[in-house]
Amino acid sequence: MRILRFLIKRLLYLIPIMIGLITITFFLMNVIPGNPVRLAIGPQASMETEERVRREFGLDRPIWQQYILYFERMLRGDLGNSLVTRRPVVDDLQRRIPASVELAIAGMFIGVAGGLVLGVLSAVHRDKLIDHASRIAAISGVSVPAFFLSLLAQLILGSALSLFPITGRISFEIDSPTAITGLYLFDSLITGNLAALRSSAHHLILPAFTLSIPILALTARLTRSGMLDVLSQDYVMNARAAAGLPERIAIYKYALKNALIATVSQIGLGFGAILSGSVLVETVFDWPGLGLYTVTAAINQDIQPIVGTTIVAGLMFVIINILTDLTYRVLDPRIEV
Amino acid sequence: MDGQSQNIKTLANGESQSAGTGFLSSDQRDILRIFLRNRLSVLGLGIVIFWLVVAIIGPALAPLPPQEMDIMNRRSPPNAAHPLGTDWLGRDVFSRVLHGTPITLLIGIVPIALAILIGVPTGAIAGYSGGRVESLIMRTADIFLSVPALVLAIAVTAALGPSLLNAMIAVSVVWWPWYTRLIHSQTLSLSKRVFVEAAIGLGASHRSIIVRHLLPNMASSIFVRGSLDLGFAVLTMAGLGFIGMGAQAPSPEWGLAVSLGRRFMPEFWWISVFPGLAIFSVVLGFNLLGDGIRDALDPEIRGR
Amino acid sequence: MTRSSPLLEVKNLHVRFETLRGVLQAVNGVDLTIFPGQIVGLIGESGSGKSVTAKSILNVLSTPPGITDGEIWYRGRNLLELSAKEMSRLRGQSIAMVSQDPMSSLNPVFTVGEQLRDALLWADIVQNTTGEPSAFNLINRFTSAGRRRFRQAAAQVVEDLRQVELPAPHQQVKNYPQQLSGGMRQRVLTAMACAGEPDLIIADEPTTALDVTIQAQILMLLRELAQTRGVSILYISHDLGVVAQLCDRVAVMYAGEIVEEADVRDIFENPQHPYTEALIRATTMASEDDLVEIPGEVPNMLAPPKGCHFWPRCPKMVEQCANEKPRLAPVGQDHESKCGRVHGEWI
Repeated sequence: MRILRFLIKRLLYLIPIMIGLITITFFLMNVIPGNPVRLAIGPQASMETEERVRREFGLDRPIWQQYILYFERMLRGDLGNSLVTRRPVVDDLQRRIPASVELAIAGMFIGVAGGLVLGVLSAVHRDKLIDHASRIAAISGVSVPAFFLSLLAQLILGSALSLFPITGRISFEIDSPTAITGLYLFDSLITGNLAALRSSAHHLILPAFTLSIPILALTARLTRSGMLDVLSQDYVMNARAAAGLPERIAIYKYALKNALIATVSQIGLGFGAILSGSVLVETVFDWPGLGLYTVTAAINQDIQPIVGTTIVAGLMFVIINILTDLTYRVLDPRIEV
Repeated sequence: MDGQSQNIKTLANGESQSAGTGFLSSDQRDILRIFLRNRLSVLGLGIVIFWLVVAIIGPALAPLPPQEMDIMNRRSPPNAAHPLGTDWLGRDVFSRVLHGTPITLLIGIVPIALAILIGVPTGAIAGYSGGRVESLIMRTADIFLSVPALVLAIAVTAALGPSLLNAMIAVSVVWWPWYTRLIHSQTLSLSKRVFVEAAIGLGASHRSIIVRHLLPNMASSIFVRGSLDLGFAVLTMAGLGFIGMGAQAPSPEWGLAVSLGRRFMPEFWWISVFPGLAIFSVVLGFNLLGDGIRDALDPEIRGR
Repeated sequence: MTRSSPLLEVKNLHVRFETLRGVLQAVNGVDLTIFPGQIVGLIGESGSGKSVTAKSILNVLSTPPGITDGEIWYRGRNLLELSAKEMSRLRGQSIAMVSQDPMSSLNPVFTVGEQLRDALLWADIVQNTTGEPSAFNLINRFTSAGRRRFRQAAAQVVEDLRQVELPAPHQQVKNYPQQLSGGMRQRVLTAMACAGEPDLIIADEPTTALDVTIQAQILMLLRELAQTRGVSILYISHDLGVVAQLCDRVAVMYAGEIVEEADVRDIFENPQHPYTEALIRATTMASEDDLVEIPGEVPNMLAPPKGCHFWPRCPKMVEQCANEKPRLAPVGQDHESKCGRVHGEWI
């Protein structure tokens, strides 16, 4: 019951965030020097079109009325049209979100799982070889540009060793699985489409692995310091000195849970890195998701899709943070929710 | 902290006042000792110094101007004449990396400096004034932080028009809220400290309290945060360059160079790989250095 | 009391830590003997090295790593030479520790019941395996034997909590440590230390954080344990009053060294070291349970004073004290002191 109340409170918090996001994007389109109509319709459109759009969007009215109009449009879910795809941005987003979500989940999963293992090993074998190696790996992981890592992965694992396909979500010869959620792995698994499952998993590995690296580094670092902190606590020494428990249980059952809670409480931040990274990784791997869509739009000065992805990415980030907060509260008995 | 290390701290404390010879105070010498003891921090410092030197004298030392094309030797692999090969126009990759160095360091430092310039006053005002001003500033900061960094940076650059300058503005627009938050919380905790309360009691003006009492005490945390953020700024700027939103051709900026060389992968890998490695090593240097500085200055870690 | 053979014999124990500012000699040549069923008090100010001594007996000096020298004999084995595995088998089963602070000694994210159950389960596993006890059995709920062990341990938890007089044990097992009061937590910790039926319990200031009434109850509990089960107790404290109530024998520790050791009555009636005298004076002058400080400061152990460690604070010091190192020497029946003036080493 308390959890439910917490959830509602956090979901209500989405409202001011939404208002803020809409306001920021309004700013981007209007206050910044430049011609918003030109930005919206693109450089090739005629003067007549410009006039018509100006009136249509109410841009001849005072700025506060424009803001209200813009707000109404956003609430109706009208994000305008994309100059590049010539379709409503909302339709484009719907088509692309599943691809990004699938990649982000896979990247997050690999990163968190790998980071946990690395972080725990690092803390338990503090100042040993494995600790040094994993710390150097972690700091290298946050230092390597995502686009460069993607290129290296393509170059070495894709081209030179031919282990993985270089671009796309699924082979051309194979039809996409019947769309249920739009997540290829999930859909092909449910429909029992093994060929699609194999191919989409094969395509997912390289980009997901590349995307996971900064999260892996972050998780490893958080887990290491959380674990070191816990290991120096009296109750860990006590589990061994009073209860006489073997070290393995004292570490991997008792200390690990405390460290996990500390890590989970901060992991939501890492999702921002995943969303940022996916812009670059999707570009290199030609992955048909939100990131590639944003970049294509940005290169073509196509502002409406950018507004759309900014809002969607913001919402996703906030929602993930609510979810991790929730997990953290469920895990940690110290918190009165 | 457990009782045992607590005790050791208590025991070791007696010594800190006694030692005080030389140029540095005993605290400063401790900071230096912690920093130098960590080999990785020293490595980071070395990498950063190396690239700083390259940024200053590199362009003068470069064998060729960045735009000079050797039409006969396009896409030639690394060889004696071109140690890192040439690109699709026959430009010397080595010379272009050297010429790109000052750009890369600049685009790391400028956005963070801008972000500090926005973040410090807003954070100090928010923490010091409280009330509506505080919540307005802090909620605005929250909203900016609710959009993933690169996505917001792309949106801002796209609205301003793609260029190196606009990309730097965009990164500072994305990053200022972190400094606002940092300074806000520091202001809150410092305001409760005795010396600030004393100054208020003595009737010092708000301005002088902020400038004379609060800011000097925050200098080290701004410095730590700033040095940790340099690597991030370089990465984000290079990312913007990579997708065409930052430096524009024919600039030798490294992110752009990696991006343009992509078309010639995998056969002519050196066009992209060397600028990419250069970005990696600069960011690694900044991150190692930043970590070292944080460990040395952070009082929580010191004494352990 | 039969003075047959000692249960634990610490000989010339040295522990040092390497810190940023140099080597810190926390324990400097400590000798300590505990006989079966005996309650020995180890007393000293904080930072005197008494906790470090206790932790090195169980080899749980973890942060920062200490460097240990000397001998610790327990039932014919030198604990400092045991392998990690042998030591682990001993911990909790033969020697167990009730630690300093009941607030921080229980894991906040596991229920009290689960923590005690694991201790009991492990004791059962160790006692019923001849070879290497397997940690796997602590999570083994997959076999019927494993499940049976879990059931038995869970029942035993309630029984053991009742024995340490924890009120309403049935409900408390489901609670997290932070939902219990300090005294209740100390009872849980005591039950935990007894889970493996050890013959030596090291109690590291177990009552510091508790108020006087609860403190008295815990002391009574420990006394009972010693009498009914024949357990020996090494009781570490800075509180002379508590030690007087509980212990048979007392060792006084100062700056990493034992400066006086005697039977409890002897120490109080006839102290033979200026530091002990100062401690007793401080305690009797103290109005309530708060600490009365001895004038002067605990020496900096990175650079301890030459000669006797106590001379800078000693009201009776003479020139020799600052230059020569006194020995721990007999000054009466089972009574030793490390004061050069008292046992006639100088003057």
